[in-house]
Amino acid sequence: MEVFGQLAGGFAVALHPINVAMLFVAVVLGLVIGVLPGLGGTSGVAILLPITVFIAHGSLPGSDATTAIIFLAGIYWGALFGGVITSILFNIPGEPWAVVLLFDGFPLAKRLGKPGLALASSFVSSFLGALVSTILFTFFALPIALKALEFGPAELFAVFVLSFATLIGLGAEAPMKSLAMLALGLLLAAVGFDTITGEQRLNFGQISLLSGISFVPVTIGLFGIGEILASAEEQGIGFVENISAKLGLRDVFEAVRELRKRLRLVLSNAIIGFFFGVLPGHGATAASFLGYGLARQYSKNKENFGKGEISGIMGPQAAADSAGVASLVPMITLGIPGSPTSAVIMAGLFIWGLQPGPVLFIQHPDFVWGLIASIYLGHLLTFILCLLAVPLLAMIMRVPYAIITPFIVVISIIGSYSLNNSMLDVFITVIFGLIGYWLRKMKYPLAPLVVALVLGDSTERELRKALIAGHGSPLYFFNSGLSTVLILLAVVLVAIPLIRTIRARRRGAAPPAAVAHP
Amino acid sequence: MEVRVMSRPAIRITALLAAALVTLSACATANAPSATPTSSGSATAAASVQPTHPVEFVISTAPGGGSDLYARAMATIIETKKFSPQPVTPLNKEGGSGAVAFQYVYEKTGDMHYVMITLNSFFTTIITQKLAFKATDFTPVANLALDPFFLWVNDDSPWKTGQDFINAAKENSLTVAGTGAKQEDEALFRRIEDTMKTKPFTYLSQTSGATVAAAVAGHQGGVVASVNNPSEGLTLYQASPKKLRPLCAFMPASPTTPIYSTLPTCSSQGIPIDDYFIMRAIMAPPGLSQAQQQFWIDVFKKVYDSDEWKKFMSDNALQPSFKSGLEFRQFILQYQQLHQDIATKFKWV
Amino acid sequence: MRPYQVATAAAIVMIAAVAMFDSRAAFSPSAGTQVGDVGARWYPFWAAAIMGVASVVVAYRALTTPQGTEGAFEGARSLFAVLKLAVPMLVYALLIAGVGFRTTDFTYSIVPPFGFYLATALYMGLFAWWLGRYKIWWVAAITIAFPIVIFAVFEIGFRVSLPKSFLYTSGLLPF
Repeated sequence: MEVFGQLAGGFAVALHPINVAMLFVAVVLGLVIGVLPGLGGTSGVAILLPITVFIAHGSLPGSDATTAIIFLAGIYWGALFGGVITSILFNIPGEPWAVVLLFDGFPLAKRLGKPGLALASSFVSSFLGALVSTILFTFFALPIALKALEFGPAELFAVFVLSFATLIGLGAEAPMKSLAMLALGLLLAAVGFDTITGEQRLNFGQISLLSGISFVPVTIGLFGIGEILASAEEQGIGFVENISAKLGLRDVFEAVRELRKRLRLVLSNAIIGFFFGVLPGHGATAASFLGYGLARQYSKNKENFGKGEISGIMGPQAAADSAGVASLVPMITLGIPGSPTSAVIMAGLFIWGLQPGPVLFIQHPDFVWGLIASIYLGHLLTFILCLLAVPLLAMIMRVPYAIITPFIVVISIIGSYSLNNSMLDVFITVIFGLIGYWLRKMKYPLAPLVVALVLGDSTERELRKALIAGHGSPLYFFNSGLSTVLILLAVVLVAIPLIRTIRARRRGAAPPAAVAHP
Repeated sequence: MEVRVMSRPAIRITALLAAALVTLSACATANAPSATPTSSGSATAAASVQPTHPVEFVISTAPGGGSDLYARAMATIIETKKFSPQPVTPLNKEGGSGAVAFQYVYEKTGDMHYVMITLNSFFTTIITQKLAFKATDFTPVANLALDPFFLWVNDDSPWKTGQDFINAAKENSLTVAGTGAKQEDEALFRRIEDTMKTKPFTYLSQTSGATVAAAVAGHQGGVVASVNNPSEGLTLYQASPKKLRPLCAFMPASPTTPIYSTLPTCSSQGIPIDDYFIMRAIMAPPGLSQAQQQFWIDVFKKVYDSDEWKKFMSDNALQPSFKSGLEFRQFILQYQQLHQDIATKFKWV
Repeated sequence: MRPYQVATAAAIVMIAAVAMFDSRAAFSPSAGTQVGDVGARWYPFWAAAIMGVASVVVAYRALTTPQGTEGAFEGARSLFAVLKLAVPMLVYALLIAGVGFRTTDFTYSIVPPFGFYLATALYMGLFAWWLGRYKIWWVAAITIAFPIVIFAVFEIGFRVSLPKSFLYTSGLLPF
């Protein structure tokens, strides 16, 4: 096949010493950026954009635009892996798709005292997910990107409903409280500026609220701050963490064993993640929630979800990382960025004087295939670095209380501030920290709130666009085969757990407990 | 950075107020009464004619979106060529179609350590969101380029010219896409609607120029046309199979970029609109001294004259157009009026 | 638990009521709304309505079903443990921004903005001294080292700007 020859050529480019060296530097930088609060892949790539101009114009011996793209993409891969570390260790999400790791990653790390296993599980599934995605990227990039173009408002709305549908039953032990939290999430997502009509809503005249209530400060507050308040109360000030952080790679081997038990789940989630990532917008985030939902729906131990279930880490992580890689597909092939980070990488292409799209494949095959080869290499490198770092990272949780607690508050504040350079976000974090602490105490599940807050905005937008496109007719949702199939799939996904619950109730047995309260 | 905090016990406030008043009165009276001085607009900063600490280059869109690309290209040139004695750091203040960024910079009255990249939302948003200030309140620096609009359709569309499109639009209400609601794209479509007496367009607001182009290319939601900038439509135009096709350019003469050089103007096809572009302009907070304003004009003139910017403009099919001083002020007034008229006519306020 | 449950649900109902009031235009589409569009207010209105109804049910259940007799906190000690964290955190956030108010013409400052770095130094130092009971030189080291490391990484390394103090613009401090 022609592809193999091109890929081999790509590896020859990517393995050029300067490219390998820059990839290594980029991956390490990306990991640091992913771990640092408030510096996600998007801002990290944006910040380092000026440096890439020097790289692209040959300031380093042998460097060219290919080196520059390998460098930028390497930062992205590093950040994809690094972003989950704070989610797992501190309950503070680094990236939108790492939010879902708060549900099971942090409980496994802290409540069950296995931070090493939680991190290693996330890394191995990330790596496998990315590998699947990269293989699909190598062979089917263009046809899939063209198919993704057909996803209009009706289809995208169906995709979001699908993500919501798999999560039904989250917090099922208190259905009314879950519903209230879900609605609160939708409401918070609506604050600010309505992009369809350009009207202000729920901002009470405050211009600074027009950027909306982002899920980042809210989740940092609800989970990060809320958690330290709750644990202060549970264990009193000055408690010692009960964490076994032995230096060694035992956790890694255990994670690999766990992965083998869940190979089918991880592979299928990776494939789903790829298709979601190719869709423009928040593909990776929707994919991570869908990945979590699917892992839970088809697990035998549903009651373990929310308490540190490994499938609850591996499922979403494989989907999210796969989607992260896939978001480069429409950018490279058609010039349509699939995620904010790929939008910034595309800005890089423009600044170096390159035009993304099919022309790139013809005029600069070295660039494209060098990039694709570097995705394989970059992930391998990141993966090895991360696994080696697991024992060290796990040690962080043994830092004394009087330092780690204020430190978590400090990084929470940096994280929420630097999102939009706004003090308002800092106050949102602090206030939602108190709210989250109280809601937890009153046994309100927080997961539905966060899911609705993250997906609410896009869901509303696509719904309303579909209604406008259909001149108000709901039949519009069935106007294409694709959207009909997706909508029906969502309906089935909603119906199955409901029917199961009702049947179980009729029999007088306890409903299959679907507990996921973070 | 000041934050309003809700009421405290009244007695304590008055006591603290008295103290605060004394310390601040000197600083406060130094500024223009209509403006909003903050503690950051201090006397030492106002006195100097060049920045003394890092400068924030405020961008009203998210990273990767809209003018972010242009701002980062400019910042990169300033940085690599050392046009400014202090670093000029891009900073995204997205939200409310620019309202958040405008408010932020407006509050930095008299402080030259802030510059902002603006596009037409600088007019539309200030008008439709009823903000407390006007576009003319800011210190104008310069316009660096004009980004033209093309009329794009899917390659499989039966229309060959702008006139075909207009004829179809007179028969049915066509579904079109554009970036944002009540912003430049919708403004242009409403102008077409108004000038050519077509049926009202069904307008689908998208989140970015790239997704607008994608909507036309994929017939998403029945979208049949857009007014993307040349750079936004280029990749899908060059794709094989070709996905997009420009019908005409809303410009006084055909574009000079080789790939678009055969594209006719829309006015030659019976759509007499050739005076509407997206500005890629730099603004500074209100109340800068003439010397401070001149400092920034000089910096951005150097950017404009650099080979990198020239290449960037031609790569992205931008119209080179440097405007500063009186010429720029007149341009601002003209665009403000144009958008005010559209907003009134289509009940945007 | 009953009064706390009911009060929490009531607070959520209040939020729902405010949001519904703000979105009352859901039933009178504003000018310029396109054919088929439900308008900007429809979605928040109904989200708030669902939230309100669900919370009313929660409150009703809390009133009609048996509830635990314990309070929200297990004694003053646990309340105190939470306050010990919450209060310094609030003060810290307020110190960063400064406290003041703004009229149309002037900004009055009651507490000047300490900025991120000075406030962080005080905050980290307080915990090391008060809860950690470290020796004074350790406290001093933590107080100085943390902000400097953060400054080096964020401001110098990645050019990320964090809030500056009132001494920054006058050139007395680099942060």
